[in-house]
Amino acid sequence: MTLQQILFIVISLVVLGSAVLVVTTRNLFHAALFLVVSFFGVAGFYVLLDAGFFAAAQVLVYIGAISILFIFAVMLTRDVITAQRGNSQWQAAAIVAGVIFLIMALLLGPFSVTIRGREFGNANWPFAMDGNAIKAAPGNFVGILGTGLVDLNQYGVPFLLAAVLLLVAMVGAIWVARELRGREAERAAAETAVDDADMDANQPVQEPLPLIETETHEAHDSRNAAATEKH
Amino acid sequence: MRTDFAFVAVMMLAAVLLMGFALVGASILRPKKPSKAKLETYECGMETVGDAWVQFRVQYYIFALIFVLFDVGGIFLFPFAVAYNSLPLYAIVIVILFILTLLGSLLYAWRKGVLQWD
Repeated sequence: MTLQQILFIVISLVVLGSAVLVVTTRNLFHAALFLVVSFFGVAGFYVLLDAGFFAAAQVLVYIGAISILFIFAVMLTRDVITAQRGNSQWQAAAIVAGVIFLIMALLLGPFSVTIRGREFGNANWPFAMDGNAIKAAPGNFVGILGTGLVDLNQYGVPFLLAAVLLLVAMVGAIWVARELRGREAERAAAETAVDDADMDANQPVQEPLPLIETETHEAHDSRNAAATEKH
Repeated sequence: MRTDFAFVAVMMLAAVLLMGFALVGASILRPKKPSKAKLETYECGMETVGDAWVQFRVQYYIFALIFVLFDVGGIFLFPFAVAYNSLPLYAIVIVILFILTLLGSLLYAWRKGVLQWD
C-alpha cells in the first residue's frame, strides 16, 4: 500500500466515523462539532486530490462559516439540554439520504445502469469537465478557475447567479429571523400583548425594539431569579 | 502541492503529540489528591447561577449568516484575483456586478436594521 492509500483510508475512516456520530449522538451541540471533524476530513480528501484551493475553501467556508452557523442555530434553540432526544423523522431522513447516495454514486461512480434502453451513469454525465485545460497547466489551477469563472462562455452566468443566490439567502434569512425575533419578543412579553403585525410591517424597527428588548431582559432576570430560588 | 500539505500534517501531529505528552506526563507525575474544591468551575469569584446553556439571541445568527455570505464571496473572488493579469475588461465588469449584488444584500440587511445591535 502506498502512503496515499493509507492516508485515504485514514481520512475516510475519520469522515465516515464522525458522520455516523453526527447522526447518532443525542447532543445537538456535539453533533455540530462532529460535523466539523467530518468537514476537516473532506478537506483532507481535497488535499489528496491535489486541489489545495478547494481544501482551503472547505476549511474557510464549511468549517469557518457554515459550522459556526450551525452552532449558532443550535444555541438559538431553546432547551438544548432537554432536546437530547432522537430525531423522530429519522426513517424519512435515512430514505432520502439513501436515494441521494444512489443518485450520486450513479452520477460520479465508474459504472452505469441501463433503464429501458437508456444508459444512466458516469459515461453520459453531461456536466463532466474534460479537464484538458488543467492538464495543460497543472500548477495554475486556481488561475484557470478564475478565468473560467468570469468568462461568459464558461461559468460567468453561474458566477453571477451565485451572487443572486447569496442575496436571496440573505433576504430570506432576515425575513425568518425577524419573524423569530418577533415571536421571541412575543413570548417574553406575553402579558404586554405586543402586536406582532407591527414587527412584520416593512418599516424601520428602531422604535418598538428597545422596549421589547428590555422586556426580554426582564424575562431573563425573572427566569434567573426562579433558578436561584430552586438552588 | 501535495507535499506542501505534508507540513500541515506534521504540524497537526506535533500539536496532538505535544498536548498528549503534556497531559499523559502530567497524569503520571502529579500526586492524586482529589477534593470537592478542585472540581469547582472557578477557583475564586461568584458561584454561577442557573444553567450555562441559555438561548442565544437571533442577532448572532444573522451576523453569522452575513459572514457566510461574504466568506463565500471572498472565496469566489480569490481565483479571479489570481487570474487578474490575463483577464479582459468585461470580466472585471462581471466581477463588479458580483460584488454589487453582494453589497445589495448588505444594504438590505442594513436597511432592515438587523445590523443594529439592540
